[in-house]
Amino acid sequence: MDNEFTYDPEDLERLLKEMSFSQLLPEEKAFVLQFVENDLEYDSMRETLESLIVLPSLEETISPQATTKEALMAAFSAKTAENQKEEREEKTGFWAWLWNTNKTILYRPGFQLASLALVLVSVFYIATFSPTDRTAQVIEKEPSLKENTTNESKKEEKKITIKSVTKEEVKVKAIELITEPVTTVLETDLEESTLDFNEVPELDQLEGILLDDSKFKVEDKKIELVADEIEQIEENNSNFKDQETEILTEFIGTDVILENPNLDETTLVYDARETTGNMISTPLNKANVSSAAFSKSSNSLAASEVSLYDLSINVPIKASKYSGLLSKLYTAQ
Amino acid sequence: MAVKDIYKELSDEELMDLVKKSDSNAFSAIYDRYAKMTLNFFYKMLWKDREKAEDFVQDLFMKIVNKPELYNSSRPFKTWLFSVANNMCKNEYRKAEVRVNAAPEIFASAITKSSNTGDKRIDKDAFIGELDDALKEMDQVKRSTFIMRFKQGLSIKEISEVLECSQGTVKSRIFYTVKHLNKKLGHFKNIACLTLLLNTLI
Repeated sequence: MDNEFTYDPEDLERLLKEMSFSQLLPEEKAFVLQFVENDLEYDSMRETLESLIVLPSLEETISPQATTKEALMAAFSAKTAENQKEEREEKTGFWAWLWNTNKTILYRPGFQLASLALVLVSVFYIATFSPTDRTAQVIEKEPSLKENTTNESKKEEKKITIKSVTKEEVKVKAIELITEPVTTVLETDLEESTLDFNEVPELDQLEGILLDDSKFKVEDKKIELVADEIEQIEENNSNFKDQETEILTEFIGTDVILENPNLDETTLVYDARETTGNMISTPLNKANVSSAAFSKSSNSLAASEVSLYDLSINVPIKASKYSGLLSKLYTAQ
Repeated sequence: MAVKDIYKELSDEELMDLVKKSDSNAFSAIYDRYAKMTLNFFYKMLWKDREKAEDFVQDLFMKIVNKPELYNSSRPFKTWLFSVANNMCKNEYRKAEVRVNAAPEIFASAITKSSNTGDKRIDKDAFIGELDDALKEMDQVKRSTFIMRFKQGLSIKEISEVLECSQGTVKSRIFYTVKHLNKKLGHFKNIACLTLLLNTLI
């Protein structure tokens, strides 16, 4: 049999209790001396341990006061009464009625009410979102003449209205809109326009009509150019951050052209069709558009530290500038 | 057999099951079983402040009153109870640490006052007084290990469950505590013999 020692420091307490140093085996002595300096310390520890073992009989013990138990028993009774009251309420209250466990699940009011609610929600959903009844909204441009007593010529006024139509009508209207030359927009004196901005539909409502790039002749590459330009602006126009503008929105088109006075290439083209299109007239200042900056003096827009998305949401531009720049763009094309 | 005697024969765990069912006799039995033990544990852990120890016992049992479901019957009740008590002491030490940092001189005088209350005219009292002082110098874990082992008589296994560590760790802590105390109390060589003698004479 192997006489293998597997002692750990934790076994020292047992050795101390049971044997004096002289009673230890040579192997045990060797083990013990790893933890104590010598035999004297071992025997001294042994005596101390004996003292500690008899300690409970040396020390005074205290007993809890009777009032502590009384208070606890009173608290226990109060808690018991509270629990019993809650149990009674659970058995007789609204929830007990709603989910009466004595009935089968089909006859429980809670289940029945939940089923009814589910049916109502389903009916509502079907009625609201059925494809045949879906309400579509398009922009219809209604040309009309408006007399201007101060100007010599009468100017055409374009009015935007929202109208509910069927799907077929949407398609017809879409084709009309798409095939309409862009130049008609450019010819309009947008500064004098009486567009009702509250009637400008959000672009997501025009989905499928205005998002046809092929009809607008705006090259996709221009979108990429915008990103490039913005990067350049970020590098060059950091001082524009502190400037504010008084430019107000007067018109929102499908394209927004931003002039950057600090760059040789003067125009930035952004396809507003990707935006919500809901850029109505809001006085613009730095507080509103923290990520864009505007040059008041040149009455043009310079973007600084803006992303394409930021521009699309936040940048309105004066109609005359819009018109001029858009014209320049399409002339170039 | 009287009702109370029946409860006395039930195990801690059985009593706690009854406490969960709002049985006040079971609660009373549990209290009678552990009130004194926990009171003395708190008393020794909390600088022999009897008033504080009484408050702590009340708080400890109020936890059972308010949320008996906190106790999981799969665990021995005794070790669970001492775990809770030990955690309460830990929190109190943390608070005391804050108080010491806030007003060290006030706290020091309070400690000195409590440690000097022992009468050191005879070896027994002197031994206990110096032991208390030595324990105060130890960290909380070693002190609680020592008190549970030598003053409350918990087994190594129970202490390991209370402190959530291995039995080896507990034994090791006890050994080094004894070694430390031996250096501090080495001059009380005959205390064990004295105690036995006193007990015999009485």
